Amino acid sequence: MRDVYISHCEKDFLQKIVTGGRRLDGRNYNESRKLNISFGSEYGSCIVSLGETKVLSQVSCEVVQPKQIRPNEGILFINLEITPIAGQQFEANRQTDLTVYLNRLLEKCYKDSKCIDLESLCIVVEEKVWSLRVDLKVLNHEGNLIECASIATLTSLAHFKRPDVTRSGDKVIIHTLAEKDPIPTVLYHYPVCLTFAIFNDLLISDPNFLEESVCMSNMDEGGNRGGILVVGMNQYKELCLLDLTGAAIDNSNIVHRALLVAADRCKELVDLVKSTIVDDDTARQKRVKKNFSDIITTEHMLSLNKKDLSICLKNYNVEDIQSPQDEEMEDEDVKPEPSKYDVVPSLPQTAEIVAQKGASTWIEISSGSEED
Amino acid sequence: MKVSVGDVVLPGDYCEEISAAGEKSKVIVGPGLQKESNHVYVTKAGVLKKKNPNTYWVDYYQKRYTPARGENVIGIVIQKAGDIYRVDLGSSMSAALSYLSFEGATKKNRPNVQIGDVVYAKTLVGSKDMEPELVCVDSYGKKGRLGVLTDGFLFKCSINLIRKILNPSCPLLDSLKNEWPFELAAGMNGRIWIKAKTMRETIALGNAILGAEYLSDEEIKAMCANIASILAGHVA
Repeated sequence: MRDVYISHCEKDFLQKIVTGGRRLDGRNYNESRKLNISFGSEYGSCIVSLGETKVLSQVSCEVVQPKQIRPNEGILFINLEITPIAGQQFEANRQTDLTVYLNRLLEKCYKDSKCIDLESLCIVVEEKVWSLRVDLKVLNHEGNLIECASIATLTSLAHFKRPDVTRSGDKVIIHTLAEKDPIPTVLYHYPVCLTFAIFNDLLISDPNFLEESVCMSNMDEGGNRGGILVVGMNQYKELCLLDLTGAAIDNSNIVHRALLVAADRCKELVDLVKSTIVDDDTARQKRVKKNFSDIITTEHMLSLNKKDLSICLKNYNVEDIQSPQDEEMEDEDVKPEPSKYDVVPSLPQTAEIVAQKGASTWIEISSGSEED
Repeated sequence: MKVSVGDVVLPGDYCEEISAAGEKSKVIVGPGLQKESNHVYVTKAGVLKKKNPNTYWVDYYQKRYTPARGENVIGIVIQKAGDIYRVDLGSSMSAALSYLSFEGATKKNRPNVQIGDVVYAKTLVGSKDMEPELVCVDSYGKKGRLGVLTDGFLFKCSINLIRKILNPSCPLLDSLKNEWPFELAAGMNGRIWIKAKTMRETIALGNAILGAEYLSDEEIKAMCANIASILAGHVA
């Protein structure tokens, strides 16, 4: 993996803006980016996008021999891969620290929390069990991969249905989907991972790539100014996973605050995941054909004009912009008005502010204008 | 497939118009096109464009930068190695920027550039596969607008957006400059450095630039007016 370089000016600006009570993309500290879940044609395949971070997930199953120590339990295997498609810093077919870290977190969150009823995956004790395999592919990395990946894992596991089996004597018959209705996976609880970035004493949920990178570099520079905190929690507000780095390690206050925020957000997320799965199921029962091509609608193609800009004012709204219908507005723009600041090109393709006389009075912003 | 100017083209398509024009006079074959035996083939997905008299190219969407000679780019200094700085441009390889290619720099008098600084430079050598070389002076040894950029904010965008805002017919910068004062440097490698008086103005500027990517000229004007009114606090 190649390094991603963050310049001083990006770091300083972000640092300043966060301490100033705002965020680069106009969100509040506790606000997350827009979450979108769409399902593929098969059971257990979905694409989850959190802002511009996108993860594709697919669950598959096969019959295998169980492990010696757990003869009556099925097997769950989670595998996350990051390819160059996710960002130009990644290389193909290479395990990086990041992939190992993310895989470990997901395993902790979904295997060690025992959210899946593995015993129900058993077919014949000591001989045949179902092995569930979750394959995750990162399609785009814009920060907070772990949250996006964990939602993708949870959604595809909850959406997945395995074929039904019947035993007659020694024979085991696996029925196709046409013969018998498939069986959904049993989940005891729904854990989700959330990420918080720490700036000094401030907690920021769902950090984007730049916020994450600045936090990490603050942490590397030493001191307890930055750090990333990953919280795994289920809908009953039970903690399943806690991963602390940097400032979070020696500041329990921050962790407590993060947990309070996480509790509500996790509940919200799980409800959303459940309701989308129910919607999808009813649509499938009505034989509505579903697949990933549904994502590519006209609206989506036009949505290339991103609704979530990475740099955005708080009140900025794409829908506010309409082509000017009234001519008044056009006149205003076309007329070369005498501007307060004369910008003249001094060299080709450059411009320079020549006159900056007195304090400007027509933009009232400096008074720490917090809009609500 | 046979295509003509103005079509949406895909790699592997060929254009007979270009070959025909090439028989009569010289033709300039731009990016996204490649001459192969008897046809001119398209190598990128985009829109085939023509500029009179005889220049053809494909206008394609891209975020990754391939260095080309003589372009103004913005890079981040990542290493000091011997008598050069290594500069990250977002291309396949880091670029080299000599200590001596700053205005007034000599062997004794080195420029004060730190790792992590942002430099605005021109590519002296640039090709797809070779290490690019940068300079911060023009051929007269003057720095002009080039050099280290301090403060402000740096962000990335697609290369098409850079071309769009630098296009003289684009109303974005013209509309914005009447609203509030700012400084801006656009690198052809898909990076924009901006600086305004306050942080809020800087963000508004970044917002306006990123928002302009898929808007028409009229919409850009409306957006600028909208952002200016948000900035001035007219919109609650």
